[in-house]
Amino acid sequence: MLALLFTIGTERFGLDASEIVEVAPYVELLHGSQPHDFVAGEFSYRGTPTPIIDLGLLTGQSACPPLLSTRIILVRRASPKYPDRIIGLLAEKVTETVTITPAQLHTTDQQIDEAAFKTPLTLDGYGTVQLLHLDRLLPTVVLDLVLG
Amino acid sequence: MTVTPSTLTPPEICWRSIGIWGDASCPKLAEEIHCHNCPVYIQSGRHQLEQTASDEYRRQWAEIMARPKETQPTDTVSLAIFRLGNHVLALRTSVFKRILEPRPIHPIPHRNTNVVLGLVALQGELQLAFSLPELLRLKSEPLVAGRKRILPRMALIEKQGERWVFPVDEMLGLHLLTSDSAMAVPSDENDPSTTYLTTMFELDGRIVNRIDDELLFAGLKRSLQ
Repeated sequence: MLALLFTIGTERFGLDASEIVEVAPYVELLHGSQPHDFVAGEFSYRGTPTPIIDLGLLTGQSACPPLLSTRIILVRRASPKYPDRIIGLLAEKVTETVTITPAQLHTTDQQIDEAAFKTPLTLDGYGTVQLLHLDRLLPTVVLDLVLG
Repeated sequence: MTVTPSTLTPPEICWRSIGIWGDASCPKLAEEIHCHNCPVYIQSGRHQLEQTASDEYRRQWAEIMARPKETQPTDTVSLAIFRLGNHVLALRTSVFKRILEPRPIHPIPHRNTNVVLGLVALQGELQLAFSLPELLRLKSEPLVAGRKRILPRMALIEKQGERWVFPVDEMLGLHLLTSDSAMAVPSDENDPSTTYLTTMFELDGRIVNRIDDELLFAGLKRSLQ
């Protein structure tokens, strides 16, 4: 599995590249009536207004700083109300990809919390990387709130 | 939004002192060969991204991201373009194995036809040489003034284990042809060359005829019988 690496707060995260539509720079955002604090704003992604969730704020940490390495990860999400939408996830240090082998996916000696939005993996040269589960990070209620 | 300054400090610029752009005394070079491969250099490059993105940069990217994505056409075929007299022809690049300097063609006693020219010794192997103008039955026209036979070459082509060599007057390069820029060549009973030339396209103001590689190899096989 190819994973995109990025940072939220102090933790290193990985996201399965097959979940990603595109990675965009941290563009200038439009600030309308934000449905929640963790929505950084929205931008026109290929002509479609697309909300941006600041993963720093969503996970209760500080907002992502406007650095060149801070980027918008565009992912496709669906809820019963909004069957096919693209939303942007703002994360820090989006500069690397890594290939995670099936063996690495299954050698975690820590207790796996089936409900947690992240699973810790140990990758050579990277230390601990949290594998992000989008469906648990962004449940339907959150999607409906952001897209509504 | 608050701007948090980068917590990373740029490392020493070692590549200019002990690296490839310095005196190359770095002990890591023995293993890494070049600074480009070294994690220290790669990490330093990433530090360049720990700068604040200017408002201008973010505005420009907002405009770029708002536009429809520019995509490369996917239905393309790579063609090698070459010249025979005044004719500019194209053949699928993947059938070309080598482009060589011209070398002598040795006639085969009692077996020579107009199409089969003879044998050419290439790296210890004998290859059959053929005349592409004869096979295609191209009308030979006097060369346009100013056009000289400047860089004659021999092309080695192969498909499914069958190898042939043919002389060309000049190799002109490669071209990526998209399916929408190719036009069908009208078949003309009076022009036998249209058997092999299936499509044509315009390149730099010239009409290029594409030779169908399947038909070409089938035609070559027939020429031996």
